[in-house]
Amino acid sequence: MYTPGTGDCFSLSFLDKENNSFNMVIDAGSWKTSKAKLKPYAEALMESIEGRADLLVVTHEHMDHVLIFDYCQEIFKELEVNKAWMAWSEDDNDAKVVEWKEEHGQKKMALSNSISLLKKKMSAAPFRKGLEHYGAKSEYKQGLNSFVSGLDDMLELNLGPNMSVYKGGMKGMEIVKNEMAKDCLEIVRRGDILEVPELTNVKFYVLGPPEVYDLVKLEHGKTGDGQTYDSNSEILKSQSFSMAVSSMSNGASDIPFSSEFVTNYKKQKSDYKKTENSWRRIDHDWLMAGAGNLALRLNTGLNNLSLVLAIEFTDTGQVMLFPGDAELGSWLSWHEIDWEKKGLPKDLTTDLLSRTEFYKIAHHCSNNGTAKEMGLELMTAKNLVAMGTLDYNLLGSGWDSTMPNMPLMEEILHKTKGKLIMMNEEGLLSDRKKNIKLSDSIKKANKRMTLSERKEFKNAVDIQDHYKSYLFQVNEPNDPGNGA
Amino acid sequence: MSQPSTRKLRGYAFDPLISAKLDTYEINEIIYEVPWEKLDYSGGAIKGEYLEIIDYDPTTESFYEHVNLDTNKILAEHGLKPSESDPKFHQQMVYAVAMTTIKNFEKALGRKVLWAPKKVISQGKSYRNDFVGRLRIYPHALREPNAYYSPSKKALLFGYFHANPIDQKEQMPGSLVFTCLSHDIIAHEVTHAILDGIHRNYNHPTNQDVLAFHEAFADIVALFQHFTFPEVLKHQITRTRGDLQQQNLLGQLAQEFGVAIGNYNSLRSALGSVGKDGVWRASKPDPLALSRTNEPHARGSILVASVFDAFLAIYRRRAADLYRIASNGTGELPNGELHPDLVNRLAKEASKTAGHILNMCIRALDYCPPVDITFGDFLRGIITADYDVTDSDPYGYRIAFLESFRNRGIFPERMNSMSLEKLRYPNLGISESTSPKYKVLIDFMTDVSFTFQYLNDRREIHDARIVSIIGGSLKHLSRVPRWFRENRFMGFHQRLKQKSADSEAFSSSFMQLTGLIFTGSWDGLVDDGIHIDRNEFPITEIVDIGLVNRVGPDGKKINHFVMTIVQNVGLLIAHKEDKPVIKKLFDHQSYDKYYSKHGTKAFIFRTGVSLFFDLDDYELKYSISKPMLVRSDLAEEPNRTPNLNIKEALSKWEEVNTDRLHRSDFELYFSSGPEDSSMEMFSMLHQH
Repeated sequence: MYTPGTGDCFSLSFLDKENNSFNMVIDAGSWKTSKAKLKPYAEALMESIEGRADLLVVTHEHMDHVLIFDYCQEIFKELEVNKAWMAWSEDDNDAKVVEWKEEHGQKKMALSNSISLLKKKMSAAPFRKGLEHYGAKSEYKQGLNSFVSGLDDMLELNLGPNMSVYKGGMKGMEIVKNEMAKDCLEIVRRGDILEVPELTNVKFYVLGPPEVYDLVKLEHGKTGDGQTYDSNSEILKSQSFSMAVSSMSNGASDIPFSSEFVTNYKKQKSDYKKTENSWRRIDHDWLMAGAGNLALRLNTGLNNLSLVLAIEFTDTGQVMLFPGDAELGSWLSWHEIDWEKKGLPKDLTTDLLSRTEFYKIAHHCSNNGTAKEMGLELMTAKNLVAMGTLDYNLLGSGWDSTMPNMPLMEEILHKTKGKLIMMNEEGLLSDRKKNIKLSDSIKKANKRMTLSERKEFKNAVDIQDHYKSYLFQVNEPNDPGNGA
Repeated sequence: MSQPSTRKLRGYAFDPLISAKLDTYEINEIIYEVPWEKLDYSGGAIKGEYLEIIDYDPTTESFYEHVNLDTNKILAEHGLKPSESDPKFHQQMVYAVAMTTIKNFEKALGRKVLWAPKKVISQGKSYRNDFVGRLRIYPHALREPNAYYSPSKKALLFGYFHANPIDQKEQMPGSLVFTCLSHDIIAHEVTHAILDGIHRNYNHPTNQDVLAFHEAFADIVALFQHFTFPEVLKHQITRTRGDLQQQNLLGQLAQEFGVAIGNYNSLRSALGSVGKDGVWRASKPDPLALSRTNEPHARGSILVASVFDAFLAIYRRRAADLYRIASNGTGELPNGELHPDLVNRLAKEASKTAGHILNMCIRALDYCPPVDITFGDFLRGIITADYDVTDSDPYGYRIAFLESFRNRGIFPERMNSMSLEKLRYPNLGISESTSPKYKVLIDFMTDVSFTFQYLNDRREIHDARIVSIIGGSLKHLSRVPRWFRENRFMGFHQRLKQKSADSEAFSSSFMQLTGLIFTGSWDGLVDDGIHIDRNEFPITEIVDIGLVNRVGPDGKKINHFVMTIVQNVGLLIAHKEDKPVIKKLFDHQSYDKYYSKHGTKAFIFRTGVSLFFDLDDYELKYSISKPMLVRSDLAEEPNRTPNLNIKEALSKWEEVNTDRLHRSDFELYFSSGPEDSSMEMFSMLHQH
């Protein structure tokens, strides 16, 4: 795990007895950072894989997973890529995917336009006049500012550094597709069981993303929203809003009534415009509600398109799980894979989870990143180790309220006996109520390990300036592989 | 010429979807009868005493022409014909339903509905509460499947959107759905606004019931309003053969909206729901569901179901004799349609029961604490309020509530057994003769009741309320008795401060009674080790003050005077080893400053009391408190100075800080912190 700040950037070196390595790279992204700051991390990555990615995986198109490919393009020009895997959402030859991409681009544009419109309304005179009614330093005003910066963050994460391009992929993603892995890109699908010739005893199970839209949109537990989740309309929910935003941005009319009922804003003399009533104006409210919902849907939708890999060492059955940023909808769909069709046990997903000994915590330890009953609770292996890609120094504003999620941390600490490697522990609390630092909780949980376990773990972990590595031991002595 | 008493306006009983179905189209168009008032159409708006409807659509930057409800044609035809394509009808619909809801509230409450005042911050920390005469309604304000009440704007915003039904037989995909055409959504949102006017601190989610209560209450009002439409009621009784526990329109909310966002049925239902297989199933009371549910609408629906269960139990009891007659004592009704006479009689019982249940719920609001309400507090309010208006309870309404709440796992906190006796708040019976030290309070209450007695104008009620709190002149209020108009009225705060021989005895007893601080300093109330800024003191705010005149079902008249007081203090939490402790107390109005420096370790502890006076006996009857102080100390040793309720304060802090309170993704990603007032929480649908 490279440590440039919140975001995923991993390399895995599968070593055989002669120390020949098969190098795999999963994502290279970060957030709230700069080219100069990222450079040493890209160099460290290049160095440790000796300039060769035998397998490159990009889980999904969010800035915190692809930015380094973009910003450090020059460094990666030297990278030899032999094979690359991506999810169906990157299959540019599939007409359905192209259509989906088009729609997705439209949504990004709608989000961007709605934020611009919102800012425009909020800088206009009537709005500022209205704000005066709430007091100069009011909570209300601060709340609005925080809202807009939250939206900006979400937009940046989804659009990447070049915020004016909606169509097509994010630049980092495009570089991988069109340059780095131009001749060796393979689209992999959920339910695929992949092998590479160099690794005879390793299988890659593709668990996600789901191919059906209905689950892509499901991000929370079934614990009580007043709606059913299996509705396929979820994906269309922001449509009315997006249409209105696009009409307004293009100066077109999108009025729901016949023109005889309509008076243009400028022509109407109305109480609405009276200065003393400006605190009751609603020019920006629809944009706040709409953009907020759209941003959340867009973000979650894309997280659930993460390519999810379970890497199995076939001789021992040990599994490493890399779920990208998959949220609940994706987790649930893993269990729906028809393994029987391939002559495999029906509950293979559960089985894989139960044998997972290394878990890359999904979605930076957020509240909805790891499924409970259908996920973490099924991970019952004794030797579980987890890595979390969270760094408070580089994070979206306000995101610290959901990351890390306290109950999730508690469960992971319990399961791993504190074998948890975080990108940056600084500032992270594992229990806000008791004000316990995550680093202290890790130490405390470590006490449950036996002496030999402790020693083993200590020896396996290596912390350097630009990465934290873990040596994953494959059990059988005559086995080919260790991963790092 | 005298004015007409009512204005008749056509509208949907439910929403346009119900009109598009053969078996219900004939009952969906009803005539709303709202109190007559002179409407003002200046300034591109429709303005009455309570409402102003401005049809500005910010999503198209257009105004839609407003309806004039006073033209001959419209008066003669009882308003415009229901139509989805005519914005003027939309305005008529929101006006009719909003006014109907207000009317029902006033009838049950026994006083005028006032909207929450507008808080105007003048200089530094000082502020004043300005009168807000009219709730503003924007029928076309959002492009989303949602509608909400904005506490900061005192306005309702309704959305419209394109339908995305899961089943195209139910609804045309892509057709426009207007939330302002749904009776249920309008009634729901108006109720949020009314509730905010009565208890404006219920927008602080200090426990997981608070926002859920707001949602539940809004749903309860919308649901029970269905029973005031006689044609609908008879139709549904015919269809269900009188068994209202079966799937029927009366127990459902927002059908069109629900279908349009891809549900299999209405948005919410108190009775049951349709599963993926298309089969309707009744919801069964599950006492554990409450502990598993914390999203406000979902949690609220458990409270709604409890109230609906109580309604069904009473209805069955009231209708039992009719069933015996109709079935010749066999209990088995003959096959085929019910006799219209039986339908009429059953409808009468159902409507009467529903009216009583709704009244009980609305009346209970006065008997709830002004902050931090729980479902259990609401139950205690219902029971106590009902004992006050009627001694006898032949149909067992109170026991029905107790039972239905218990079946859904709703219990008041800190109560080891649940009986009607225990649920009812004890009558304190404090009068000047029994406790002379309360003279200052009894005098205040007497003066205020004289001041308010003849007030009928909402602005004057507001003014009198302010004067009775902060003191001043009542000169301009013509209906106030002369003596009060000619003399300066001494406000509550000043009266409490007034030094007199027995003031000390009064303050300590009053503190014991209310659990709030009235000594003017923190001295002796907190242990050493907690830092207190000398100038900072819990801010006492009188939220509401007013007279309540009600007539019970058997003619019993009650004259009460209610006063709600809220006291807040800012706490800064620190940790000793791994235990949270209070490090410092600060003025909660400086919260922002502390939050930006200390994050969630800064916290506002909200406490308060509702005081009830009986004006017939001039007696202080109830004190319903969420105390700032530990009152048990006082019960054991009456002369001991009470302490700050540290345990409660810390447990509240923990509640907010341990992911127990539901926070939507919307809040998690976009809010500036727990006290962010720009998040509009009272929406029809959970945001996102």
